[in-house]
Amino acid sequence: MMESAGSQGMRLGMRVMIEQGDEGNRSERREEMAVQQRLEVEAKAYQSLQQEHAKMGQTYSKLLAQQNENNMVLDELKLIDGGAVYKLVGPVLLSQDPEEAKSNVEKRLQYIGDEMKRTQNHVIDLEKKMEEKRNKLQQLQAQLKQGQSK
Amino acid sequence: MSTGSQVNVASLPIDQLQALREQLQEEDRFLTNSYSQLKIAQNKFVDSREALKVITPENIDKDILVPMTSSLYVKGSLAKTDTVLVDIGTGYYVEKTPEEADDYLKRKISYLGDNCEKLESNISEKRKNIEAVTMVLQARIRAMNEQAQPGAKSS
Repeated sequence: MMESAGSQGMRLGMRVMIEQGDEGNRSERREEMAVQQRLEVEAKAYQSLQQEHAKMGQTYSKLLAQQNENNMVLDELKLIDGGAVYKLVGPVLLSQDPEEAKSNVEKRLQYIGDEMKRTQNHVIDLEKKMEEKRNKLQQLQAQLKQGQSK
Repeated sequence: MSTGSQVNVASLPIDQLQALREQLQEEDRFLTNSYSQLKIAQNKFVDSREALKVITPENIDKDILVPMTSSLYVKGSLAKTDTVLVDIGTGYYVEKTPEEADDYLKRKISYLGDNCEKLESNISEKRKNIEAVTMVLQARIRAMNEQAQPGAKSS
């Protein structure tokens, strides 16, 4: 949706340029060009923010899946009584103390939880930045439209 | 969410409606994909339960063919039937009796089954939303076409 805001702005800018060329008002045209250029820069910045936002979303869902899996493993480890626990290290199974395995999984869950919080904060941060950029884009578009109607 | 979008769907411009529909379709694809993956995972557990059935004391020392790959088998004999190793995820294996292992598999199967059901209702909800948006979109396009025709004549 918002991607179209940028390209819309560019399309708008192009139309402005053509119309201005007929009129031949140089200073006004230069101003339009400057606004259009800024619009392009902002649109690009917005797009890169969007990409990062999508990437963070992926990271987050990956972490969520890991958290789920580790939680299931922890539940299973809590359920065993007496059975031996092995950890797959490369191609071999190493015997491991159940308590140690449990604390390892808990540690990993802790780490994953921290990582998720960090990612979420980053996402919130990105969303704020995107909102700002969106406002700026709209502002620039309005500016272009104004120049066009003059 | 469904009621919320239902209310404002009618007031959205066409390009946003289209974007919304695309987004919903994308979500629907994702959910359907997850659903089939869950089903595959569930079937694996069902197969494991089936395989577990022959790990009984009666079958001890019997000749078996051990699959090395899907097409290469090696002769062996069933040496031990009192415990099996169960992969519980993230590289951890637990030694369990066949009964315990069966419990584990049953638990996993019902867990995945529950999730499948939840996903199913999610998917049908999504499909309903897509249908609603599509209908509004079509009505909107029709209205726009009708509006555009007399407009073109007058100008």
